[in-house]
Amino acid sequence: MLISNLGRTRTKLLTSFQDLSDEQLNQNPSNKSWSIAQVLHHLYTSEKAMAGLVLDALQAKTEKVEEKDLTFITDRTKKSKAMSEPPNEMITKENLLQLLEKSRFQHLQFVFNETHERILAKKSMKHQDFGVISLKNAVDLIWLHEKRHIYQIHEIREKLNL
Amino acid sequence: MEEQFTNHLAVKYTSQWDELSVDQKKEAVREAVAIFQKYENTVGLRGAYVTQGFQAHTDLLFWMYADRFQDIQDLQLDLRRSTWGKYIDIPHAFTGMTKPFEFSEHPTSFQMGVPAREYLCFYPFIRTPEYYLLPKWERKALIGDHGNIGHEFIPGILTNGVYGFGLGDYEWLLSFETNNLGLLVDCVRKLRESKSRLYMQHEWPFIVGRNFELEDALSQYI
Repeated sequence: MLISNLGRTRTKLLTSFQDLSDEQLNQNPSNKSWSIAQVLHHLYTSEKAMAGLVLDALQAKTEKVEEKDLTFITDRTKKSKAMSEPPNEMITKENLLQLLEKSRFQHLQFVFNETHERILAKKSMKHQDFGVISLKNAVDLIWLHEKRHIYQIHEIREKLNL
Repeated sequence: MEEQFTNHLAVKYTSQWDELSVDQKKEAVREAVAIFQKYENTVGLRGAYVTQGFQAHTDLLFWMYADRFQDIQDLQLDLRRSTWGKYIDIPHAFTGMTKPFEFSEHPTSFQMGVPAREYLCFYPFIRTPEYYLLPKWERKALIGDHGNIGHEFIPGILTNGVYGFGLGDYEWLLSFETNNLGLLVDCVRKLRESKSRLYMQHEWPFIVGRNFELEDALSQYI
């Protein structure tokens, strides 16, 4: 299911902004809110970073831990602070699509070119918010996090009447 | 990894197609498009590829995928019964299954949610019997070497390998997707240096095509 969840969520993400122009993607609903382009850039950096952590953990000697239910992270009523702020400058749709493909088909794909899902379930890593989690859970976080931000994109579109 | 069926269907128009009027051809195309739409919740269409200029044996290649093979087959039978279906031959058809590979997951790009590219290069292949009798470590090394060459071309080339064992004449079905045909030439050329080539028994046909929206692809031959 891991691959399927990753793919289906990504397809929904791409659909959520496919009809928007560069200008619309870079509009901020308020001074304190991210634009859709910033959300997408954040997803790129998060996926890339998580794929790197998983690859590192694959090389290390780690224990098998129990799977956790992390679906609560899709709940937008529970606020969380992003690790890094996305850039403020304009990013074109073409660039954003390239970045998303890079993190998916270069970085994350590399994990799956190295190993099987069943091995990810047998190894673990320390996550700053969720403690020690399995590497499968770590990859789950990628699509769950993406799902959370798809809701955010819908909220931004609503606020901006897009 | 969730398993899915894939199907690459190669189509060639018969000479009778050219005897139809433009309106008759347009109507036949509309009917064919409606059949794909009827199955859109159960059969995904990764791409409809126009192969003009690449191969003489094929005019169009459809790349479909579904959770159940019967949905793909029902769609194709509906196409055969349609007006459009009466004016085509099917020079090739290949069914495969997405499954984890022996040494890694290696999911297909469409399963990972990466959009299709402008061009597709598809080919089926069979390895020699000797390959499957090699020790596991040696097969792993051969595949690793092959994979490392392929990785040099990511993300310019997306690779999609599926199992064909028992579902047809071939063992493996491989689809390369790219926006850059030059890169495809470099990649396939470089892969010829892989030692795993020593265990290649047969790889034919290569089918290359340009991706169009379904109706546009079918309309190219009106």
